[in-house]
Amino acid sequence: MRESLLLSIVAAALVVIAPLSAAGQSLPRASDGKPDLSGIWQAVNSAAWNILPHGAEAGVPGGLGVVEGNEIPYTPAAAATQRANYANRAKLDPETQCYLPGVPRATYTGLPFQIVQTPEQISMLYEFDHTVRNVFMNSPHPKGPIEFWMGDSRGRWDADTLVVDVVHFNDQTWFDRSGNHHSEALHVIERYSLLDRDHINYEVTIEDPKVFTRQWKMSMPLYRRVDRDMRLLDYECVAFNEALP
Amino acid sequence: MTRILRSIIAGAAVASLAGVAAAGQTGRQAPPRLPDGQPDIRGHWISDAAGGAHSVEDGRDPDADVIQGRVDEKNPILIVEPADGRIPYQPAAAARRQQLLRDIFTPTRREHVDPHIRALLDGVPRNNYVPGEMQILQVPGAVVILYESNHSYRFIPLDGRPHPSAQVKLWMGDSRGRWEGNTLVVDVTNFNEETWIDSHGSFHSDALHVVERWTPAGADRIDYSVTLEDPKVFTRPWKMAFAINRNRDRNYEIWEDTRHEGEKDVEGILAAGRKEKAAGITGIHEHRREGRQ
Repeated sequence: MRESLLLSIVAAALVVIAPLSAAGQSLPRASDGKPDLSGIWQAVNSAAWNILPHGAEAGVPGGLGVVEGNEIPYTPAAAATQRANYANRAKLDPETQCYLPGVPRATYTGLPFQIVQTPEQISMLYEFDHTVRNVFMNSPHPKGPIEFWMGDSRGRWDADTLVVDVVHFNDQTWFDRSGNHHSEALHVIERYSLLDRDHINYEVTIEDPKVFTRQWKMSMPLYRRVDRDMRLLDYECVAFNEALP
Repeated sequence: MTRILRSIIAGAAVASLAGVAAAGQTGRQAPPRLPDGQPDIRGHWISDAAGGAHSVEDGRDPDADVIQGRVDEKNPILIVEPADGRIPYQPAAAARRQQLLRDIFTPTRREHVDPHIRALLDGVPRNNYVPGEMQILQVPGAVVILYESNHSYRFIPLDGRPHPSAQVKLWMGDSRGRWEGNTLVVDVTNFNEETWIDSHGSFHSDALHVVERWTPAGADRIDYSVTLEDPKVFTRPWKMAFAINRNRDRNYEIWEDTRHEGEKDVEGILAAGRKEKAAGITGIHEHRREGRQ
């Protein structure tokens, strides 16, 4: 009798505890206690066209920009390169060749991406060109020089923020369709901070002493795709280009 | 009270774990379990069957074997059903396949060239026997396969959700998994018609239905088998089987494999094919069947 009373108290307690703990703890957490970034995310902005503020044109939505201070601190030579890139963007944009988009451009192509989170490795799977980034946690970058399209990503948790340090880039990728560019000396630091179940604040610090006079930042929210039965599909750019006359 | 509560909860957890373990008995050595009950098959793996990417019916390319000095090595055939080791094409499909073998001999258009060389996705099951590693990640409710070759990936939900509408066509298909004891069974549909099963033009339609079975056999091997059915192309389902072995280098990391970005072969292959065709050279891509008694 006493035992069955105890059991029903326990059962009732569990029922009560479950919703309380969900309400009291605003961030979903993985089994290791870190914020759980798992899921399918998407940037909703026009940074794919231009990370700086811009008005609309045919086929190009306007945008308030994602760069802190609304300015990219190019050296004079690098600013000239950007202008030439922009003028010839239809031919020069690596996206038109279906090349891997680089970082952080992969984040805001306009297509969704999926985070698969484990304590040792966080993999980011992108719909565009089936791009993959493996973020190896708490391990050093390999010794360079190495030139990857997507760089070499090493992650760590800074309290509840995932910090990803990315180096070993090539100089072939752009930041957007407007010819904003970098060299192989690019160093990217990304910060992924879960704000609540369905929003990440994504902040990026960019350094490249060959191209910029100082470091600069961009930031944007990432939204969870909550669509029913949501899954990544494929966007096989290479096949689309093959089919062109 | 608190202590009692804890031990009751702990006891319940042990009981449910034991139940899961008992349900998983199949006579093979039971793999360790993850907290969500999945058998643990995480790690880096490499298939025994990379030669099958050349031909699932004939194995490795004997010409390449001569160049690579591997003529005396075992050359396993992947097809275990039907017993003759040939893909059971319907008559019209067999004719198309013969034409593809002629096109491969003197390719003049991109579609005559193996999609793998064109840096397109390999599809399923081919991604499991092209050269390169695969990494299996497991998270609650899903298995994720990251392939080294062409940085392709598969996210395999285990929650029983249905495949998308048949109008959605995907290069890698849509994978849905479930654990049957210690065997991961993956049902794959929603394919497009673009991928080949090997370099020999072995093709399928968008009606392809693939069922894979991944069964761990000890800590370092997975026995893999796969059944392919396609009522538009094959007369009956057929089956391939091979082993997938653990890469025991614990520090292994999959690094970027840029297939398309470095692709320079296709134009050369087409130029050679066009030149031969113009010179009146035609033929069929074939070689004697290696590795079979």
